[in-house]
Amino acid sequence: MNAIEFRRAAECYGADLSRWPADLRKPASLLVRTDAEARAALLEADEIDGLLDLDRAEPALADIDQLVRRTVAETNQGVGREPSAVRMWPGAAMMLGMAMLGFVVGSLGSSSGAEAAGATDLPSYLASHGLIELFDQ
Amino acid sequence: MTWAARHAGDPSGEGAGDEILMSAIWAGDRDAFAILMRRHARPMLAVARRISGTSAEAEEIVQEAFLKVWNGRSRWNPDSGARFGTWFYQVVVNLSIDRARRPSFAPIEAAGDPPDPAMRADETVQRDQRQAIVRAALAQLPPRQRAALALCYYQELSCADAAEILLVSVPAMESLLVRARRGLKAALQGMRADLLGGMP
Repeated sequence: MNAIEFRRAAECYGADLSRWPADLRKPASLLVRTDAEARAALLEADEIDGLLDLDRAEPALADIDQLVRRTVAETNQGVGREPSAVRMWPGAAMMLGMAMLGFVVGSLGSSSGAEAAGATDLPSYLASHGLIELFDQ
Repeated sequence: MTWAARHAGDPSGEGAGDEILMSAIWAGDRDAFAILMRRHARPMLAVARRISGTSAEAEEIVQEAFLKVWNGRSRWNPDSGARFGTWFYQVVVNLSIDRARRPSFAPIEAAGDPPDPAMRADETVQRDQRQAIVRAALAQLPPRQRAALALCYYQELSCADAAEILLVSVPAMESLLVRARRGLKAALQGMRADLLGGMP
């Protein structure tokens, strides 16, 4: 490890060598003893660690208890969150409706070819069978 | 039947792994869900707060993440090989980054001036003020850099584990950390001595 590599690692992992990757610790501690540049890099990293440590506050236990209670209560309510069939029915009903319409149109078309041949476009064909009302309502 | 009723020898669930708890949650056991939450809430709240910026937002994020676990429990696959902790960190970090991208942070100037040690102000007030300044400086970093610091520096995860959570390579993770620390240094240029000088 040279001083440049050391500086890069210090900028990444901080000044505490015990938190560096295991394979870097030994060469790093050797370099610190012999290289002034490495020591300077370590001091700079220590300064940043010091700044980061000014914001060490952890969440309070009371907040965690409250969060747990609130979240469990939410699962009991299950308001609009459960992946239930009820939530999916509008989409399913629409798909079913479209499928049924397709089936009706298809079967009418195949069973009365002459009639269908007289109705050249879909809207007039649907109107002739009273099916257009489905969309007007 | 609840977790406590089925596990008389371990009613608190402390000895149960996450995957065991998830199996119980899959069957609709809310006790197991509460145990899992108590186990993971603290680090997740800490990470979410550091990325999103406020404790209130962090609570919302972590609650949303836990509700994802509950509502998606039927899709949990114990044979997938995925560790719950890593997966859950991913959920919380992604929600936090999304939230952090909404512009809501106050500029660093809003945190006030560094405390003047000569004023002999109350130590708690000084500490809170120093914390507010550092927090404001951290808030100016891009969310992914904040996530990198939250995971590696504060939660003390290895770079490899943090990289897995952020879905980046280890060198990319290292680069995020370097940029984050340089960014903090630059944001607090000129204030560092006052901030660190006031340390007890």
